[in-house]
Amino acid sequence: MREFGLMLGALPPVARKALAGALILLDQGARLYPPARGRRFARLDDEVAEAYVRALLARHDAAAEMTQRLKGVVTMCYYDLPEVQREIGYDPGPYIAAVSRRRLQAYGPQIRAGEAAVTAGEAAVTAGPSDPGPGQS
Amino acid sequence: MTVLTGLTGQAEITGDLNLECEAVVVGSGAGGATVAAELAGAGVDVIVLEEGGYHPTESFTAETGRALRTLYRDGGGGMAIGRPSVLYAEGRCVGGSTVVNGGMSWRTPARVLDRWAEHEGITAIREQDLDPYFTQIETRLSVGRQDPETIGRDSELFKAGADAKGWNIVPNQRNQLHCAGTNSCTSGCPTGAKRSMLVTSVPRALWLGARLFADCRVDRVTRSGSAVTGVTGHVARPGGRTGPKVTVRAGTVIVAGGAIQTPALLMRSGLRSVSGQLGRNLSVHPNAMVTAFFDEDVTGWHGVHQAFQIREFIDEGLLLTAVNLPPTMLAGILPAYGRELGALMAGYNRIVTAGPLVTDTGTGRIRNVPGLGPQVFYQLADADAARMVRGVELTAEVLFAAGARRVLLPFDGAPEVRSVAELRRLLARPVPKRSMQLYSIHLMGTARMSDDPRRGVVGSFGEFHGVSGLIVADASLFPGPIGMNPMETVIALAMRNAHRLIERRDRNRN
Repeated sequence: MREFGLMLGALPPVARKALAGALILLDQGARLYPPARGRRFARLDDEVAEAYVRALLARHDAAAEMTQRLKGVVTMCYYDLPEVQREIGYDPGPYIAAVSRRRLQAYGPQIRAGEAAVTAGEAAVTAGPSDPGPGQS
Repeated sequence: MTVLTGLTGQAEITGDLNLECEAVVVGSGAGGATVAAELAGAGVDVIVLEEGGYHPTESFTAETGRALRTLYRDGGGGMAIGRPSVLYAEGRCVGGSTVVNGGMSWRTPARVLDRWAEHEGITAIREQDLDPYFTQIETRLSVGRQDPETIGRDSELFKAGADAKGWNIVPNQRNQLHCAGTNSCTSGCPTGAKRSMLVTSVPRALWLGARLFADCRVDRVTRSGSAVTGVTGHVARPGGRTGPKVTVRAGTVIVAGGAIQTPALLMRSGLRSVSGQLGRNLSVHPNAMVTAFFDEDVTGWHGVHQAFQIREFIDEGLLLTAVNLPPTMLAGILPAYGRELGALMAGYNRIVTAGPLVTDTGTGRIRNVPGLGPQVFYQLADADAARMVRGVELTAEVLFAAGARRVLLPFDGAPEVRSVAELRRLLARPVPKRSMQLYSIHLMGTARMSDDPRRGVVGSFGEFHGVSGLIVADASLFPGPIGMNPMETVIALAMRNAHRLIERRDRNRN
């Protein structure tokens, strides 16, 4: 929920209100979905909840569009959690640290020269790329 | 934390700002930072106003959610309204979209420049005119190929698939100084190897004497008669609160807020174009993602974001690329829900994502809607939809050729596909446009160039027709899509426009 709140906070006020409203509609709208038997979305078991979402998406209208957006935001927030990422084998911290070290060990002098060239006269801006290649096409 | 002399953030601004300079630049991305560095290098007193915050390299991590909230406008969730709608992302931070792009740096194709010269009434725009700028940019931004050890397995598979098909595939030219291959391009490069404006033209401009105010949103360009007098705006406080007023008086205003914010600002300021093209002519290079599952462990995040481009179908307006997406982004776009999504994501390390980028022929527009701000409207043309389907088919084919066991297509309701034959059978039937899940990170064309004021919003060097001292310097300038990553073109045009300004200034002084 914390991630969801933070993500909502990054949206412009109108989008924030629209998504919050859509969340309420999604939740309460389930009561009108016959297999839900009057229950709100939060109270549905997985199978009925999924069928309800699929039914909404199959409409190809504004409700489908909003459901799609909500699904995007909610799943993004869920898969942004480090513990969820580790569960699926994504743990970039140690990898980034290792390749960053490798970079500095292999190319330290060129990197330092390139960085220094940013604040140097035009003639000094000569720190070349890794491999300039045969030119652009 | 890296402290840049000459840079002021919102926390340091306690009261209204009243400033004066020779030239004020709105935006610090590819266009704005370049113009600022060029002008400052020529001794021009420059102020840059950037709506986003300053986030130095050492603050960057692989946390996608944090990046979306801090480095992108509206959490990266912009939406062009149409059928289908197109999700788009814009950078909003010091360095602009160059901080969060994939770091591809390609010259404008000669055929595009020739078309602009011959059909759009633009002068000094041919390859030979821009070559000196491209050369300079490529030196400054260390443009080149990846070091081999940084190319990930997903890219290798993509290349193997293209080679098996006999298709033309080229290594990417990227603005990188020995990229480590952290695959964090879209969250801000944590090593600074990607030579974004944040670590190149912004510090260079400041070193040359420019002043940069971050967290400052420009509301209006001010004028007296037909000449600009500066800009007004406000400090953007955390949480979207409005801070003190900002007023900058300047005889030259360079607007470089990107193809959505630039026309929106100009229209908000009451400016009109005789051509009727301000805010229109929007191209988006729509793209879509095919998700392929392999038997082997791919671990696509071990390696650079994008290493190759398939150029085989460039004449059809199709560029194919493999792009590794972090779980946060992939989960948001996979056409699956609930347990099905969970099952797919469990195989994250065996996934390769790739897709077509379409050179679009249709156009959209920007409108300022009261209470909502700039809104984007875009309708995918039938021909572009057909090309999108073909691009998806070709992408899936190359992934099967690389050994994919099954693929998911970016069309709502499309079943999982397990062979090329199945793919062809499925795509032989019409694909409704409304089912397409489309994205854009290339927004262009909303203040198009042409020396003919009836055709273009600005002249060949970005000067707004009918308003003295107002220059545009971003992808809004493009008369149409370029079918290629646009950053280097934006920088080249910005540099060229800045040099024209400097020449005029020098002439007027002598």
